[in-house]
Amino acid sequence: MKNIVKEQFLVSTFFTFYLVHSSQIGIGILSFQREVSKNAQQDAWLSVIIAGISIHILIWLIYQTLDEKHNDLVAVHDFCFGQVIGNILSILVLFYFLLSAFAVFRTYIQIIQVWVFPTIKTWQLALVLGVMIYYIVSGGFRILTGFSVWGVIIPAFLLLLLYFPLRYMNPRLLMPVFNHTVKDILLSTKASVLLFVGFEWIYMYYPFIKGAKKSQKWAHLANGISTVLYLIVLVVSFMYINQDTLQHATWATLFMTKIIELPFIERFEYIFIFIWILVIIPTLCIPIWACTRILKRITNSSHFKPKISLAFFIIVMIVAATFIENFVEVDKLGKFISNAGFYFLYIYIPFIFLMKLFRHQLTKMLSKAQ
Amino acid sequence: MNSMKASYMKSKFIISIIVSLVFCTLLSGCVPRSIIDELGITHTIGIDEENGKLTATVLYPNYTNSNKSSVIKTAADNPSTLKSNLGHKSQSQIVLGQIRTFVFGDSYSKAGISRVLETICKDATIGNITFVVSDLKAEDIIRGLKTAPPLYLSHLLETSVLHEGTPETNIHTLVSQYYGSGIDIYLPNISFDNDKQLIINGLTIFKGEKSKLTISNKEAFLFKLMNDKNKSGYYDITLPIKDNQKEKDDKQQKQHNDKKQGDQSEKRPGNENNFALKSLYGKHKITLHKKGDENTINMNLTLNVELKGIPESIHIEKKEDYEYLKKTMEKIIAKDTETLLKKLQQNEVDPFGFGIIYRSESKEWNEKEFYQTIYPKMKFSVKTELILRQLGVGE
Repeated sequence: MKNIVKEQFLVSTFFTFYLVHSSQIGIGILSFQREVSKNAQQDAWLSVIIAGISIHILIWLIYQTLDEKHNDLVAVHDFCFGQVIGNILSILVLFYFLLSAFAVFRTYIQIIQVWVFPTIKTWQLALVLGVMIYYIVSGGFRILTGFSVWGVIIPAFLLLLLYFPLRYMNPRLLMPVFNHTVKDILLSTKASVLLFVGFEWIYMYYPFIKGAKKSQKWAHLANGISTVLYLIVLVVSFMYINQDTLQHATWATLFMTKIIELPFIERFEYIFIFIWILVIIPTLCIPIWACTRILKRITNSSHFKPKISLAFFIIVMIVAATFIENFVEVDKLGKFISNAGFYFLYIYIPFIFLMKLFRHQLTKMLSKAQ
Repeated sequence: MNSMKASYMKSKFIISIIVSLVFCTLLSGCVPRSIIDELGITHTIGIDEENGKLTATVLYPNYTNSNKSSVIKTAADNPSTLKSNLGHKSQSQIVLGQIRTFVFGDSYSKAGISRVLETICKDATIGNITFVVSDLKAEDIIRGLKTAPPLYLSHLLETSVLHEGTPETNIHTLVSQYYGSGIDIYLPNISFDNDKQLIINGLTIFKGEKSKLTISNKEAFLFKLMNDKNKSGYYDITLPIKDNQKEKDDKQQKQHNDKKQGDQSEKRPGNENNFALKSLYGKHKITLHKKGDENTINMNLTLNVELKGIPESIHIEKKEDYEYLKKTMEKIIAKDTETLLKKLQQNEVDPFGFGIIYRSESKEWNEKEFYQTIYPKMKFSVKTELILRQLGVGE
């Protein structure tokens, strides 16, 4: 079940940086401060660093799992478990990818409803977003890569915006350092892992990268920069909003942008919300693209068109979005996907790595025995 | 076969045109829209408490019909109903997106501002706003503003914060002081003077959600010096007469008198030894010094000042006089600040956020314990250093 992508569909090696970074920065950065600081409070920056380092290890594991012969997750599943079980696992992963795209989809609609248009209906926004997703994903992987460049540039501008809250900062709010237990810090680490979710889509777009083996350093660089970005935003938030207030601020980053008043724009947060769609597009489209890719690979036939499966996935998302009616359910969805992501990252990725290793040794031994 | 393919292509083309037309209607923006002429855009709201109910008085400019502002007043049991009740009384929908200033009346700020504050925090339409407290009824303030330009109050506060030494407050500082532990809320106080002019009348400090103490403008400026980055403002100082200077003074006075030939018989208005120093910029540093049970707050202030109209008895070019002037001013500012700190301590309020400082340097933090046992016993030591940058353009 070898899987070769034609030269004209490949992207350059260093684009891995954009792909990984833009998949990691998304809707989470608007609101992560509260969840992350719930346990470790002002020491939560340590948790973000720990989470970032652990993600480096996982990226290493992913690159160890994939190789020339088994260059995506479907091939690895097939190799380790055989076709039937392998395909079942692939479909489970498909569900996880779809769900993580759906969580972003629904949360962004929720943000627009809460902050800008309280009376707009979910299906209206879902439909418009759905059309947009179809348009982008049907353009193919190279278009997605192009969009992910925006997902790197715009968050970088966020750093400039941090100047405004910095004027009111109080460095004392970061102290005392290390007055929390290891357990608290680890719980916060668990909460901050969700921020880095997105790099695991490498599993599917690995064959689309030219010289994929060499792209590992770009993936690590992207993750390093994501960690630094999250860290800066977190530390500025901590200095700007004290811990007690932070627990009342659901969208702390948006709350921070409230202070920005430019002579020509009184209410900057509205512009901020709409610009953020460009950042969210990669985190929304890459997993959906990965879903269509998985489906194409397991059916492995030329008459099954990815465009049809894409339309199907988007319709499922739109319909499902309208069924989630209130903010409690949106919260629940976020919690669920955060747990699912945690287990996928820390249990499934090492598991697949070990299985691949085991299977590899087994075939080696068998061939030797013969 | 070929014709079938052609018809398939054709139908596909037509479908794609229909679909794109349908989505064009979506893209044209069927989002809820507001027409600006039909909105009552308010800039100032006053909140009072009357007979156990919340009342809101709103000032909104009426751009379409006349150039006059309208005032409406309504009462309700909760802030949300208050807003809708305002709508019932006006020809246009009242919107809060452009609101700049909230005025809390005396009765309401004494009863506790939490209810309105928490509602404001949750309202996404409200941007960066300022809050003020008044010793009068908020309604009176709003009615007094009726003839003034719509943004009068917010501009008054803005200039006062920028140039006249009122500490800066906005929704961010208020919310973090309200939810955060280890610091108390402070808000500017406004009032009318005897001529019915709106003035800023110092700073009101809250304990929890209730207003407790109002300090004067002069004290508020000291507070700003030790607390804000922007330190511009005037501080007036009455210089005590230097002992060994007195004689010289008399002599000079005589010479002066000779020159002026008896003009001195009429008393000049104002106090001879009183003058104002203009603070330009500076730095403050507050540190906590712990020694056993004793906690001392050290405040250091370095201030660059411009002097205008120093007393005639001081000859600034003389080193002796220069030192005397500088040292005396430093001492006066330090002493006044210490007096202010003690006053705050006696009233059990902590607008400086000593609690935050204490918390940042100790492993354990208990707000109640801090304010009951540690804060009342805290000692203060204030050190100021003045750098006399400019003396004006005259001689």
